[in-house]
Amino acid sequence: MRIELFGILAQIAEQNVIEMNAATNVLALRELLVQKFPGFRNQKFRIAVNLLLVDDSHALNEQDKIVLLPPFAGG
Amino acid sequence: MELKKKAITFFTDGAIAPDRIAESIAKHSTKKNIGAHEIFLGQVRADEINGKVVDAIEFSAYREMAENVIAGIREEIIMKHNLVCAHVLHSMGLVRVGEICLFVFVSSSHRAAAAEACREMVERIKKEAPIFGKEIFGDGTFSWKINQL
Repeated sequence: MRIELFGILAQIAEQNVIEMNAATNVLALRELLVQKFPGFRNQKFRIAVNLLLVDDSHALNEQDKIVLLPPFAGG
Repeated sequence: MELKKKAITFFTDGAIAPDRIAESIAKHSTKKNIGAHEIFLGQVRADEINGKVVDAIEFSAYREMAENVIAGIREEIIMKHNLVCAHVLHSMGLVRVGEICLFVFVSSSHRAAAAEACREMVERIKKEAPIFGKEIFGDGTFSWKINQL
């Protein structure tokens, strides 16, 4: 599945878009992400699916638009 | 002839010029039911972090979601406080210390609603909009800003 990254997460991964193996839900995806990018382990980040923030139990589909969001800093 | 609808955005490149704020205020003189405006201006501060002083902030955002989030907040606050109108403008890209990076402008018949709505709008934008900020120091190094809520 295609995943978009922002801020410090894009910096750690050294790319703005990554391709990951399919994960059934957000928690499973988080585990795959920290395996692939150990630097993510110390980062707090939320996940948006199809433009909405979701929690770890949210089920994922291959076509979902998945985006990793580090802490917000607007204003 | 079909008119092209201009896409509404809450973002602008670089700092928000004071002239733009003045123009926005002036445009409201035709709205006769307004009795109170409340304006918030966010300015980039020369924070000191581990002995280094911030020179500028480079803003980025998950634009598609941020536009939706701010549009939703704005609609909710207009309804909740029965505002006449509300405007939000946030910078993208580089904004230097001392420059304006957020402009929130709400107008109401009475001052209490305007003041409360403005404060609420600013707090919710800071908390809910997926906007990111790279604090750039004088020596070219940087750190990622995190909002204290």
